[in-house]
Amino acid sequence: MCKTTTPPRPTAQDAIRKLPPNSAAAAVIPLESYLQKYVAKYSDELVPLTPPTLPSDVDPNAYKRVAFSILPLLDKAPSPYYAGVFDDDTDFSASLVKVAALFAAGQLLAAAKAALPGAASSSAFFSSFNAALKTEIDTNADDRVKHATYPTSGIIGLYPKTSSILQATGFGTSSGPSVAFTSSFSTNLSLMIVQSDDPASGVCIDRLGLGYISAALNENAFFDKTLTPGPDNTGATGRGIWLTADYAGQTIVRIACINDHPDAQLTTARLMCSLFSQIHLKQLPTSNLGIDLDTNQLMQNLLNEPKSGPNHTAPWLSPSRSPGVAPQFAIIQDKIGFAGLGFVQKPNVYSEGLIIKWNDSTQVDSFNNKIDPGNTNPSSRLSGKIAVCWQNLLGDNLTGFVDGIIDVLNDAISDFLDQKAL
Amino acid sequence: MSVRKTETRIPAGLAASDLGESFVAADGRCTLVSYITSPLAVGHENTYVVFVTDTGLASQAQSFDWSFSENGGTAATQSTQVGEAAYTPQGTGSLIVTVKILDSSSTEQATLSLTQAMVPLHAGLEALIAAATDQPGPGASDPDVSRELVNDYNPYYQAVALPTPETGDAFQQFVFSFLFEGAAKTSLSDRTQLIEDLAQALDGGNTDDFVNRTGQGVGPCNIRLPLLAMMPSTGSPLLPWTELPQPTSQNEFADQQLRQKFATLDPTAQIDCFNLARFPKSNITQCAHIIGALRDHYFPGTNFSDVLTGMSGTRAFWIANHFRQGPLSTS
Repeated sequence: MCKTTTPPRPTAQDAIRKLPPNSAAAAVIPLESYLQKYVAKYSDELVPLTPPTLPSDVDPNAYKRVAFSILPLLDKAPSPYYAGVFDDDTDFSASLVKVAALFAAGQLLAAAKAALPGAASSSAFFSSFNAALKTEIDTNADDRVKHATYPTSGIIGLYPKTSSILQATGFGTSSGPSVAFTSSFSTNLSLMIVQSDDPASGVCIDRLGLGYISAALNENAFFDKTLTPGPDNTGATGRGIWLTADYAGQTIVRIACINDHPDAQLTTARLMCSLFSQIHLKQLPTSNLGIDLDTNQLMQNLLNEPKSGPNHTAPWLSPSRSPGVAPQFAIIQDKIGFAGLGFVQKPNVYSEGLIIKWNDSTQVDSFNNKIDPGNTNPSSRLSGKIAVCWQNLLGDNLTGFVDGIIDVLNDAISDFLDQKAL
Repeated sequence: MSVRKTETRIPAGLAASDLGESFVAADGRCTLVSYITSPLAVGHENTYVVFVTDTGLASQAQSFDWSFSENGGTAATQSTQVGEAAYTPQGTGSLIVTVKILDSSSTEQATLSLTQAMVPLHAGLEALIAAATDQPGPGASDPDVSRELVNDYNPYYQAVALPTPETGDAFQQFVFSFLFEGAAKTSLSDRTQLIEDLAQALDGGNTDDFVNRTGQGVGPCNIRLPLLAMMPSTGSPLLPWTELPQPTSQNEFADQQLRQKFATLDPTAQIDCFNLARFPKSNITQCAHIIGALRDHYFPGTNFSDVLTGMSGTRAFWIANHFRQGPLSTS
């Protein structure tokens, strides 16, 4: 007889069948829409009304391209609600790019930990680790970095000076070998981030070697040599995070950028924002062993706010700098940047990478209840933390310094969370 | 790999929009079809298919570069050797899907793009599921199947209609029960795998493999391809009306013969049947057509309200059996 004896039971599913279709009205208005709205509204606070006097080797219109990247975060991942304006412009961003050196240092330590097992002694470890690094750099560093002319003094070069960065101890002991930053490297790394100290940055970058920094950035998609410096430019000289100078007098490879003459301390807002988010979300550094959480904690500790100790920096957006506008967020991690444009080194251009936390949790809850009614998918909910990068602001030429940045972030994020009508 | 045969033609008598949400290139040489019509539900995988109907472009195409950008963010990218890709929305907002058709030197030959909205899971259904969880007795059966149907196929099953309308919604109820049963019986991943296997068999001309695989129903309604060929919604039947014996052993043998006969059809007819059953939108439409045709053949003059409620549902029972195993001989 028949293989199937169960009759259909249409009435059992009728309540489900009669539900109306999902509505596009439930889709959120993208953060991008609010960002564009408020960048336009506050353009007078972001761009000098009177055209500034710029060096002849700087694009006379690039100062108008103040870049923003905003990436709301979930608990353990970036959210899909990214927004950016001029965020793919590769700009000179001065000391902000020191975070790239911090990243490379973290990657090096993580790689060293992965290379440690099997080494019988410290010298054997360094010998094999250096050989592996040489292969990695020869393979993955940018050709312009590999073929650059370096000072004969050897102060800065292609390959890392690993024995001045790392100390490997404990070979032959019951607890086994371990590797960590040397005391002097650790001190200089801290000074580079906490005080944004240029000589200390020089020590770190010189020891890391430009080849290793380039390879690490390329391997993690923070630089793409096949792209133009910005979406509106020609010439595939590369786009992303580029660090080939040491803040201590050595500038080795200049490449084209948007806001300055060819330079050596560059980033896009998008990729610096991504780097901050990946560090904060404990996704970096990585090695064959996976994510090195101990080294990640070390990196986070340096970026944390408020920083402490003598000469520590304060965020540009910090209330302690008495801005004309109160931020609607707290700053929990930060690195600032500023320096002069062109060969005459003026005017100054300002930048910042941050992790912020939105003050009004009820706004975050309201947004989460819209995208995830009933809390059926907790992993999709915003945490209230947001990765931000802004750059290319001629702050000294503006009446309110960074007030325009705060205004844009306040209003764009607040309206996005409230899903206000545009 | 060049364009598969299954992606070289839209079924005869239909438009791409009959298969799903679609975007046709301005020059008409290629078309992008989305299984699910916007809005897409977050966390629900959607499949996109590129039809390259121009023979010149089809001969040039060697690979496909896909990008999926949510809310203007960095796009997730895929490179595929065939014109099909899947993507699962991560958040609500706007999704831009772009596919570039590349030649052997990876030079772009054509680009297609589709913008879709992404929304949370259907709030009304989630409330029903939550209520069923909190209350004793039967409730929203199989929440995952309910979520797939309501979030992904709702506009498709809401749109089914008889050529001659009837009072009430018994027909729509009946079609939905076939859809629910088919989706519950065969998981989405198994359905996807069967479609991939059938496409490969059709593309490679592997008749034995194709005959074996057509023993299973295709798509969310589990439509058997020979049955579809017997009663197409447009045009003349591709196979003559053939009733199969009811006893299991005889039914299986006769069904095997029917599938072999289907495999001897013109390849374009096989591809058209495959694509009609492949896309959820046309799958549900064709299921509704077959159910209506089976009612007209075996119980002419009976409306679907009577089919469901009269004679203790016996007629509904038999239509279901004809759909699953037949058409069956009743003599």
